This record gives sequence, C-alpha cells and structure tokens, in this order.
Amino acid sequence: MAIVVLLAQRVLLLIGVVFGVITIMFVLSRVLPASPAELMLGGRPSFEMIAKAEAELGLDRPLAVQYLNFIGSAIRGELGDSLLTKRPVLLEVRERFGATFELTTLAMVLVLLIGVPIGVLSAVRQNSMLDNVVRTISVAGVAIPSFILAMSLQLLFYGALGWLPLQGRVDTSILLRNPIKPITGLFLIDAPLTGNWEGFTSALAHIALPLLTLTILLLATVTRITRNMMIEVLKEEYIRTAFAYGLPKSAIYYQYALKATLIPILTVIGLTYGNLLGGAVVVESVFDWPGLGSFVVSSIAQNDYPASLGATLFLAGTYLLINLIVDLLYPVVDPRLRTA
Amino acid sequence: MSDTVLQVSGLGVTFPGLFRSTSILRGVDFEVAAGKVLGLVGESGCGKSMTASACLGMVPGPGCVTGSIRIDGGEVIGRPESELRAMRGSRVAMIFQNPMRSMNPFFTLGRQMIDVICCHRPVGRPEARSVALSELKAVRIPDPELALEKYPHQLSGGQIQRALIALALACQPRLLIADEPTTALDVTIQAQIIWLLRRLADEKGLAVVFITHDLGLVSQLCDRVAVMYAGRIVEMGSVEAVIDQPRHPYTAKLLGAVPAVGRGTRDLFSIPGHVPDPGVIPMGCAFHDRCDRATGICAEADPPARTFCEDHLALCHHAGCHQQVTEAP
Repeated sequence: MAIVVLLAQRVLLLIGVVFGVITIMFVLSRVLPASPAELMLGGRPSFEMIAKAEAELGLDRPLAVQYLNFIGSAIRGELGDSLLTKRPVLLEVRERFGATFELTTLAMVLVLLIGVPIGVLSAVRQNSMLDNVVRTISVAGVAIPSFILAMSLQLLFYGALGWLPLQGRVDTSILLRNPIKPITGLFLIDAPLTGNWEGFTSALAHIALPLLTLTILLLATVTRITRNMMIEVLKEEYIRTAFAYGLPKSAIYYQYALKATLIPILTVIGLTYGNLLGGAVVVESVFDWPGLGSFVVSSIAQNDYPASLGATLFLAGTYLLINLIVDLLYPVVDPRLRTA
Repeated sequence: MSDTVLQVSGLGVTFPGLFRSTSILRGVDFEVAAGKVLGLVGESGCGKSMTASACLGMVPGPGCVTGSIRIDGGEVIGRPESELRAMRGSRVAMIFQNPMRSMNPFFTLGRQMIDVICCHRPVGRPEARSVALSELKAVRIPDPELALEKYPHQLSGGQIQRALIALALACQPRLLIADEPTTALDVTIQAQIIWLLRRLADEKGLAVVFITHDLGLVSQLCDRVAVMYAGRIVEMGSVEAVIDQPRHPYTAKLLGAVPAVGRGTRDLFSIPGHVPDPGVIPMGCAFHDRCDRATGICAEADPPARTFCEDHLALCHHAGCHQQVTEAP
C-alpha cells in the first residue's frame, strides 16, 4: 500500500517537473532575439518570407495558444524536423541515444563492479597502503579535467602504442561494406545478434577509450562515497553485534554493512547516470562519439533550434526517469522507508 | 568448587601511545561458575566494557592484552582470529546496551538469526529457522512466527533485547555477557529482562556476566558482585556481603548514591570528583583523591587485597576498620 502511495507521489512530482521544463523551454525559445522562423529560413530572408514561415509555425497566434500547442506537440513527441538534416528530431535523438546509452551504461556497470568493492576494501583496511593508494588515485580522478584525460589516453593508446582507434563508433569501412543492422541501437548487442563479428570487434575497439575515460572519471566518486559511507557504517553498533556473534568478516562487510551504504551509492549513481545519459558532452566530443552530447553541442552551435529543443526535452525526461527509478529503489533497500 | 565457566586472571589491557601507554585494565581477576550471575559494577570509564570486549577477544586495534581469560578451559588471549570467530556466539555470547541499534535495520530478524545459527551449527537454513523459532518462544516473544519476518524498526526495544538474547542463546553458549542490557529500556521491561536472565542462569546453567552501574539491579539478579574502579576490581564478594557490609569506601559511596523512591531529589548523593583518566592514574590507591578516609599511605602504596569471610575481597588500606572511619570527623 505504502509503495503505491509513494509511486503515485513520485510520478505526480515527475509530471510537474516535466511541465516546468517544457514551460522554461517555451519561454526561452520566445525570449531569444532571433525568431525561430528566421533561424529556420537561414540566410537573409525577406519580411514576407518570415511572416509566411511564422504563420506556418503558428507563431502569429497569441502566446497562450502557442504555449498550449507547444505542450501538446511535446507530449505527442512531435519535436519537429531538424533544420540541418531535415529529419524528425525524435528519430535523430533516438539514434544518438543508443550510442550514448551504450557508452554510459557500460561505464556505470564497470564503475559499480570495480568501485564498490575497492571502496569497501579501502574502508575495511583504513589507512593501509591500499587505502592510501586508492585515496590518492581517487583525488586525482576527481581533479583531472575530462578532456585532458581523454586526450592523454588517445596519445598513449592511439599515438604511441597504436593499439586502439582514435575516434568514432565503428570503422568507416565497415559502415560502408558491412553495416551493423540496428535492432536495439546498441552496436555491441546488434552486431553479435546479426552475426556481424567484424563489426563487433571494431565497435569494441572503438568504445574502449571513451569507456576507459568515463570509467576512470566516475570511479573516483563512487569509490570515495563507498569508502566514506562504509567507514561510518562500520562504527555502527549492529556491526559490532555481528562481530560479537561470530559472523564471518566477508558476510559482515559485503552483506550487513554494504547494504547500509547502498542508499548514498544509489543517489550518486542516479545523479551521474542521469547526467551522462544527457551525453558526456566533453568525452563524446573528444572521441567524436555520435551520441546525444555531441548532438546537443552541434545543434546549439549551428542554431538548429528544433533539434536543441527536442534533445533538451528528451534529456530532461531521461534524467527524471532515472531518478524516479532511484527513488523507487530506496524503499527496496531500506525497509524503514517502506512505511513512509 | 562448582563448574567454572569463565576464569579471568591478571587481565590487563594497554594502549600504546606516543609518549606513554594507557592502561585501561590493570590486573583484573574473577571467575564465574555455571548457573551463576556475576555483577560487574562501576562508574563509566572504569573498564567494565573493556573487560567484556576482552572476553570476546574483541579489544580494538592497537590494544595490547595480557593475562589470561579462560572460557570453558580454553584460553582466549592470543588465539587466532578464525578460532575466536568460531568461539563468539557458540561458546560466549554478548548482548548490548542499546537493543534498537544492536540489530541491523536492513535485514529481518529471521535473516539475522538464521545467519548466526548457520554459521555455528551444521544445519541448513530451514532447520536454523526452526531453531530460531524455538529460541524466540523460550524468551517469550509474542507470535514468534510473525516476529521472524519483521525488521528491527517494527519491534519494540524490549522485544529486540529478548530477540538478541534468543539469538545469543541459539548456539547454546556457556557464557553470556550482558553489557548494560537494560539501560535503554523502560523500568517495567527492565524487570522482565532481569527475570529472563535469572531464569536462563537457573534453568540452563548459563554463566552470566552482568555489567551495570545500577546496584539495585545487581541485588535483584546477581549471586556475586565485583566493583571496578580505574581498571581494577576493588571489591568482590557475594551480593549480600558486599551490599550489606561494603568493605571498600568506593562501594559504600556507590551504594549511597543509589536513589530510593520516596527520597526527595535534593537528597541525591554523588561522589565528588571523577574517575581518573586511564593515562594518569594516581600513585597508590587510585581512589585516594576522592576518598574521605584516605591517609598518607593511600597515596604511596598500592592497597593490599584483603579477604574477609566467604571470599569477600577488598583492595583498601582501611578495609578492615571501615566502620570506625565513617564516624571519624
């Protein structure tokens, strides 16, 4: 019962926030000095052309009507056509979301699989050699700007060693010769599904560097959070009780204590994952990864107004959805939150 | 002599420091027989809880433990961690001051009980569950089936303390150490827990070390009592002897500090001064600077252990002539 109430609360909240985002986007698009119609036409259009285009776009109607139309089309997912590619923005966004999703999800999984156990070990052996090394590396990981890390890795693995490709998602020759047929939009899944092993190896080699960059950057945060929370939890009386009753250390650390640290870890995961799905802008740009981040950057830079609006709305949506899921996971982890 | 379960002799715990080490315990000797309850009494910071931790082999970090602790004849000090772990819970169990915080809030009572039982007994989880059930019944938890499925926050403090006792007993230890188990509970619940402990000692032959600062509880529950001060046992004997005829002035003052219902709050009595910091324990008798019967010798020489009838023992230069000293100006 409590779960249903919680779910309803969160979903209502989500709807409210989505409306807020839509409204802000509408206001911003109307406040901008350049009229959308002008941007759409490009070049130096005559007044008649602008007026005609404005009428087509419904920009000559009262603001309130425009606002309602805007909300209506946003809800229906009609985000218009990109000015640059002339294709529907939704389609464009969906294609690029696959690339971003593939990269960031893999990064998150790696970060969790590596960061959490290291954080636990580091907390259990507080102030040991291992702990000091982990702490130093994670400070460095937080401090280092992402583009420096990305370019250093390119220098090393592409420039010096020549092991990995410089950028892109897959070899251009493969794109021409033997393209990966889209099923899920994730190359690493689609390629084996369609038996395209050449494509798979190429995709794997291409994702390695951006993945490594993102993982190093995020690992620092997750390891630190896990370590610090774990140290607090290990001071709890129920941990002492578990020791006093002779439970094995591994069970105490990885079950009894770790579950208590999951809430802050979940929070961090929700926030960073949400952010990343919006495109790890810098990393995607450096590696020319055809994801949402680089899409947003290029559409803003080139005044592609429907594309940037559509992408923004989509990003806000995913961010909220991820955090809704995280919110709903809290009571799964902590039974005390189930009766709220 | 009856069957001795716990035998502590010459127990010392010292923490090395940068300039000088700090002695928390300075030679503690006592024993507890099966079916008997020993009260360990003293102000905060006198070493009661450290004694308990030492009995479980759980002295934290850099602490250096000396002397001997034998549980069922087996030495605790110097044993490898793996053997200590097997011993904890199965031969000696402990219950703690704050029941609400002593159970993991993220797991059900059943899960936590079954985990402990499985790790000490060669049983599967279903069997462990039925053991847990019967132990919960033994401590008279209402509706034990339901209680197993509950999380700690859904139970009351008294219920959790009972559950912890049930958990402590699930692997049939010979010794139970109870570190102020009733401090965080209502007085009425407190009485139930006390009677439960007494019944377990009488019926199951459990040896109990009951740590408290409440002498009232000691007189209700314990067979013997040991009074600790600054890392030492300063007086020990049967409850009747120690409470009726305290030999150590510290015990006498503790007894004087027990408030009685009906006395006005203005009559509350406290012992002036405070327990010495373990790093700076005074020469001679550690209590001499708070003791109004102290004479020159108290500041110079360690007080001798004097034995009175029925192995009633006190560490005081003036233990013998205590009554007269009280009347002196």
